[in-house]
Amino acid sequence: MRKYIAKRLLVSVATLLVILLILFLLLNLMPGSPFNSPKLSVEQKAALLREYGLDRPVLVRYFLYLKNMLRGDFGVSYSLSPNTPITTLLKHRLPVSLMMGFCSMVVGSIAGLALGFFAAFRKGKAADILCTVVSVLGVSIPSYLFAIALSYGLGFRAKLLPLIYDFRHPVLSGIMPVLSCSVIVMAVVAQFTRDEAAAVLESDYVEFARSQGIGGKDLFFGYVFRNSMMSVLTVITMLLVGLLSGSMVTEDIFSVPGIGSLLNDAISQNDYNVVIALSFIYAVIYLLARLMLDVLYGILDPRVRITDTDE
Amino acid sequence: MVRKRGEESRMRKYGAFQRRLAVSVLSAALLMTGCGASRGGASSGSGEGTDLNIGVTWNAATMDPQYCIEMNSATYINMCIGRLYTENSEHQLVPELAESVEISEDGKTYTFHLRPENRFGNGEPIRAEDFVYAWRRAVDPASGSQASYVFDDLCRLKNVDKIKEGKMSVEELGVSAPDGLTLRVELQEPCPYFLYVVALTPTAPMSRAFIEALDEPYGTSPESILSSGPFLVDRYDPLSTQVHYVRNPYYVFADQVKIPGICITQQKDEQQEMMAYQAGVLDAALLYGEVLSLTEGDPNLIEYGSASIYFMMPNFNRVEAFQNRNILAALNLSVNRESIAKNLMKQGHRALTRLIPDGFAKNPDGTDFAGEPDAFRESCGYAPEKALEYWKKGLKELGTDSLRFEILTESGHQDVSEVIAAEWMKLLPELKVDIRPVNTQQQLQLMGNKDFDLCFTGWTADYPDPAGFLAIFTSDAFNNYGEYTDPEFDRLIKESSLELEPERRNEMLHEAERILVEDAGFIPLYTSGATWLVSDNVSGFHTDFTGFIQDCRFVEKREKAGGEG
Repeated sequence: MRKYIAKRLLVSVATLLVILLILFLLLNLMPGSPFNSPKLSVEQKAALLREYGLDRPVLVRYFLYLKNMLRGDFGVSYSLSPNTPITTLLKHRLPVSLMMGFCSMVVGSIAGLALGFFAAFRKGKAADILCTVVSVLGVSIPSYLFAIALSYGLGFRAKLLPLIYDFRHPVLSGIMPVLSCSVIVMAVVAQFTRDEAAAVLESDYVEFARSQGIGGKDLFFGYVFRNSMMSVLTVITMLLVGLLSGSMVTEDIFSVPGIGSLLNDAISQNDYNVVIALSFIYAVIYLLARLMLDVLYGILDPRVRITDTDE
Repeated sequence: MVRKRGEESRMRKYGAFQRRLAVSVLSAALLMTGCGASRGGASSGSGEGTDLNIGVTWNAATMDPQYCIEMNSATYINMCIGRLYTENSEHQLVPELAESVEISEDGKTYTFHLRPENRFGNGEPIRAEDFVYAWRRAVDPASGSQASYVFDDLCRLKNVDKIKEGKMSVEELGVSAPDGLTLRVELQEPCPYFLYVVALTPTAPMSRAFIEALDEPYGTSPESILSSGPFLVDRYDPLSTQVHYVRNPYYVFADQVKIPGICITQQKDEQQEMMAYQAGVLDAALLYGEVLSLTEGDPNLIEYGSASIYFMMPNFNRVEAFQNRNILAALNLSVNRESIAKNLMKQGHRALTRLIPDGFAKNPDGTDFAGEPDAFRESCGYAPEKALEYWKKGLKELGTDSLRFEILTESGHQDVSEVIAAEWMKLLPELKVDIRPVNTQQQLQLMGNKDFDLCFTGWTADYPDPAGFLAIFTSDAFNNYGEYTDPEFDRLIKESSLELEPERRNEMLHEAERILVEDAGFIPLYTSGATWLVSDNVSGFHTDFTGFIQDCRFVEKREKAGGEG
């Protein structure tokens, strides 16, 4: 397993370097420049490009960036927050999005797993149909409308939770955004769990276990849960990547100071360093999530460990 | 200052259907609960105590006054800076950190006398050297500040161009401090609106000692921001969605400041902002988009300012037909501006039939510069039949029976161009108009390269003087992308900038506007200010001439009566 993880880490680093290079090349092709104020003369724009080294060839900039990145310097923002170091820019915002994404994943997964298993054990009955309806609604209702509905119910009418982010009450302010983001997780996880668990429940080994008199908790945790989790974990991991990178819509609605809309803003304003840093972070999150998934596969499925040992 | 384009269109990023659906849901919900009466008693959000809670759609790109080039950042910075002069609630200039000013006879030297009691937020005195340092900091090419245009394009400080070209040291800039309380400013040529320039954000004082002692870039934390105005920054991080200020005890007019603090929240979602206002979480909310339709008739709805204009800019040297007066007259007379402003752009927008919007600038006698609404009806009214006549005549003169051109537009405003193009093609036979939607960067690049036929664009004036709009159409203006040229217009603008007698200058500006509009140097469309909902327990809330919030030092907030209503 260790050898496997080391190999995966090496591949991940190489992948990140390629991703960075592609980003540099793509950003170089983007029209316009970060200095887009109509009140800047052509000479002033040229001077600013020189000042930030943006008049240099793209490959020179790539290697300079790599060199600085190894020292923890991701450069400064050009237009979103001129001259602010990217690390300062992300220092406050990234943890907010990571925490919000993680909480949404935990809340959504627990609710989804509970709903999915509940439906699987009652396949074809009213509870199963209800689970399907809830899942379909969860997937099809845009989180935007769900967030507005939550705001109206819990914020505007009941006055239980802050309608918009309040720095004095960060935890309370996070509840509605987390709930909004967790709906889609719950819906997807519930549907996958239901389908997987239903298949496992009909499998020969579960039938055999039942015939041996195994039931209740032992059957669920020993046979059903573990065997259903393989594909559910894949789904959760992929959802986690999306959640950790911040939800633009939810963050905008609740004024959450996260990174959700930062990439969008940075692309529209040609703030290359912010685009590169965020894309790099997303790539790292994705690669780490894949790695975590592989390790979890190994823990859940002995066959993966055996195959690895054979290698 | 630049109002960020796309600000209005930011709200359009969600799907139109979702937006409409959400507005409908919200409308129904608010109606069911008696929306207008449900304010008060907010227990959530930052609505505690007597802080003023403001909702806007943007955040601050910078908190450094000498790097501030757009109104969005200025909104946040202005809470914590003092300036030599500032606007009062009647948009009149009043001294703030300055006590008085002497202007030389030739209008080129301004001597400001500062108030001895001026203090920065850290208790250190504000002296004339702090203005000198700040202005040099903004102009110094090494600083890379884009705000240097304030001291160059707007007022031509002595030696500024040579300093920007690197041919002269920044110490040679035409600003000096003969003593701690006297600031002398030398201009290359008279600037009749110079006192408005010294009310702009980049002219705020800055302490050299404070900047040099920082171990992080200025304006990246509350500790790295030095206040010289009514409030101190209490909570801030770059691009934060919420900035909190507390009263500055060292501010020269601290006794006038009635509220203990301000919390500005960036709320990008118009429905949520509206709901937060209705719930009493926000005391003042700047509104855009479709939620404005919910506020019709609300007595707390206030429209401020009219410093932004939107228009079509023809590229005279690229499209031969635009050199034909009849063709341009036909295009001008077949735009239904009233309908666009009322039905497409909705509240906060008004039709524009000239260059200078009404309520923007004043004549020397105090009357509105644009006091005659129908002054240019002949050129910019809505007259389809007349337009058709001009069109046929124009085509004949051009020796062609059809015309085709393209409108370059920022994608956020594509709908405006589409409506106009459809109207033109309906009213003017054999006309084919294509739309080229691009993002803001692309648009500016294409405009700079003169790579367009007709361009939908906008402009926000920096100071409430007609020159703030007229100057962009002179032959040598770098942002005259359409290359409109008229020697008489150029002469009038040049001479008006040197004219110290207000009446004569005013006549020149009126004449220049007449030439530009009658020449169809541009196709005016609409003007916009800002639409605010301000709670009735708040008084003294006012904006500057652009419709953006001023420093809130006159704001008072009374406690709301408990319960609903």
